[in-house]
Amino acid sequence: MSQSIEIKTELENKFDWLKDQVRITRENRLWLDVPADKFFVIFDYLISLAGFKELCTITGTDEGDNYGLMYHLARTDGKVLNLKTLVPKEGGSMKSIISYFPGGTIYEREINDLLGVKFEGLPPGRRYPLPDNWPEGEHPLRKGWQPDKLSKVEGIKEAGEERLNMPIGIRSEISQPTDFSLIRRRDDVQISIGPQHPALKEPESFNVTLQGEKISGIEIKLGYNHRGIEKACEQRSYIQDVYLVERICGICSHTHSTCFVQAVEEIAGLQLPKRAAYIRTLVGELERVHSHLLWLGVAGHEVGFDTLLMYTWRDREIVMDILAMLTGNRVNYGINQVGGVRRDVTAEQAADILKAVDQLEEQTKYYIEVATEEQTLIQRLSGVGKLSKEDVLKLGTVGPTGRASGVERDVRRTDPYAAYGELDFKVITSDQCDVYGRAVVRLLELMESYSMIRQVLKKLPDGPISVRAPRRIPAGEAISRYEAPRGEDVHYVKSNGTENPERVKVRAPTLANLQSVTKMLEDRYLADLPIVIAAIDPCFSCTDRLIKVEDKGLMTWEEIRQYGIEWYKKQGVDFARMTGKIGRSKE
Amino acid sequence: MTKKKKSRIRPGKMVEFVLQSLLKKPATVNYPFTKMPMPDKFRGKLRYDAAKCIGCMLCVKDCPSGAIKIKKVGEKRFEADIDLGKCVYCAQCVDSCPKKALMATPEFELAQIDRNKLKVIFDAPPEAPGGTEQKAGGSQ
Ligand code: SF4
Ligand code: SF4
Repeated sequence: MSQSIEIKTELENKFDWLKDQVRITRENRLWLDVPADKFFVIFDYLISLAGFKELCTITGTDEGDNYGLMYHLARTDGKVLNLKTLVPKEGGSMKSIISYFPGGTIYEREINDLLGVKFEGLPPGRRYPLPDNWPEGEHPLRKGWQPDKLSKVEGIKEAGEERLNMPIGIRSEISQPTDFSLIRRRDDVQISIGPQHPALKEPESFNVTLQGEKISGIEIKLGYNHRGIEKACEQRSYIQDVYLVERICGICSHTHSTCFVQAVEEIAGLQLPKRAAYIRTLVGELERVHSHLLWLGVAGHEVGFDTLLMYTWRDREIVMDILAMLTGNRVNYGINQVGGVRRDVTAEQAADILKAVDQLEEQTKYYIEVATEEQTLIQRLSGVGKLSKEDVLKLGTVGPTGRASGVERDVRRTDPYAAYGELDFKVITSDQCDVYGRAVVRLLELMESYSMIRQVLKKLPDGPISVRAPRRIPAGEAISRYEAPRGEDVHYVKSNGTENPERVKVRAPTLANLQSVTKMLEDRYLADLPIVIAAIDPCFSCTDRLIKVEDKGLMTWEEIRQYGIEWYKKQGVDFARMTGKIGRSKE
Repeated sequence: MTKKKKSRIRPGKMVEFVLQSLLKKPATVNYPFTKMPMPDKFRGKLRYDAAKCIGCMLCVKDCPSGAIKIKKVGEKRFEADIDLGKCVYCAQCVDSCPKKALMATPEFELAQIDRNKLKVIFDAPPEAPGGTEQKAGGSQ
């Protein structure tokens, strides 16, 4: 804790009014509340002189007459200082921090949307994460806000007239017969990609401005997958929340559940049994293996190398089967609980895992060979999606995307959790700064994961796999970090002594990485867009967490079918005629 | 830009591998004619043993998706009503139950076209122990 104390003393020496204000809850975790007028003095000091150069995220809370804004600042040695200030609800506002962290824009937008805090100096842009036609003045994360209130608000405005919800660039032209002369007269053309697009695996929309074939501007709209998980967490118990946060993402499910339970365990002061820590690490690394293999296939697919997709996904089944055997399911493993893990590893399972790891390692070696020798792949990926080291630091890019630009940033090393402190592994980096570098980093990380899995199984300590956790978690707060396959995942949990948390905040790695996409695509060709986006290994269901459930009533199977047929008929496609023969033979 | 190691670059690196695969068995399974065995710890459709249940409602309280309901139908007689469409197959109810009245089975082929068929009611035993599953689709 010595270093944390050093930071504290230095702060106190510099600003004597901070005497006994800094709280240290554990090694690496410092908390400080400052009044709004003195916020920037401290903020500036922490960034420029104390080395807190990373912004994990900003958490907004609703606290009676005020909004709380907590800036989670991190240092490369794993220290996190949570700097909090209060903004009055009545007429209060906060200055934007984008001059310090350009990547902070999206966090401020999120708080602006969900809580309604105003940020001075936040550039105009599309809202995040709520839909563009969301009614003004409805802020779902406010404490009194209830989802059912929305249906009473005069329906959701149709956004047509504002050209908002529709991501298509030249919207007015689209809704009427397209006037091509209008487009041709402009020297730039806008193309909308998404929310549904074959190059994207999840709904998100990119509004790309082109000059010729080159991208001159890009606007990203997210939020199509937002499911209100943060709000829902507040309304459920800690036990239920573990399964809820697990479903933030299907690929990083262990990531989110571990990150969440770590925070809750810290607040409750639970000592995680060693064996549980090792099992969490084991599942975490297996998850990384499956995620990286999945990425490799997708990347291959995006550049037209579908052979790679087929083989990597076939091999990925090996690790999926192992995960299913170990936890009971292929995805959403349900292995975590507050206080430990739910399932133990038997000796036979350990042997099976080792066998599978050998097999995977052999395959991975082959893929590394392919990646370093296959000319088409190298030439297609090199120099594409350049992101300099400086930009990584400025934009807060995390995970393999950042590491491929030579930034050695890995929570497993800097702020170890679970059993990572006791494992021997290398943090893989590359100086390529392009998509090729990102591929190589992920491939080499696979090799590290195999080595870690072997170490975990070798060292697996005996003992219990969980400790009893109370249903009521004492009041407190904690921030937990986890190195997901895509980068750093951050959960902030605040408890109030009841069975339900007061606030759960999730910052998934893709949100941090997505902002670098704009930079990577600057002045590049449109054809590079799919692979550049894919190269950050985006996961938008992690990134988005809220949506309004529209109560249209249930539609029966027959009704949906009928609806589809009618809809197409209106577009001039008559299925009845086209498939008359097939239809008749079926009926 | 590319680090060129001319001598090592071989186009069509995977050709050999691909040709080999032609002679191998398919990696996929011919479902539904062949089925993969489910792992031991698999969390599939729930089974409820009415005779063991004491109606403590812990399963109802802990279920993350509100999929399970326990109804009292008589003196010490309970009935479980599970919505397979809501259940997320986490088996938290199995962990929560103090009497081991709930169990996860390996049954996973639960898709239905009719939503009502996703409701499963486990009747309370008339007198003798051993809960029986009512006909699927009997939504009361
Ligand atoms: S398995 Fe999970 S979701 Fe299903 S009834 Fe049990 S607790 Fe609820
Ligand atoms: S937890 Fe078990 S005993 Fe209690 S109501 Fe549910 S099934 Fe019955």
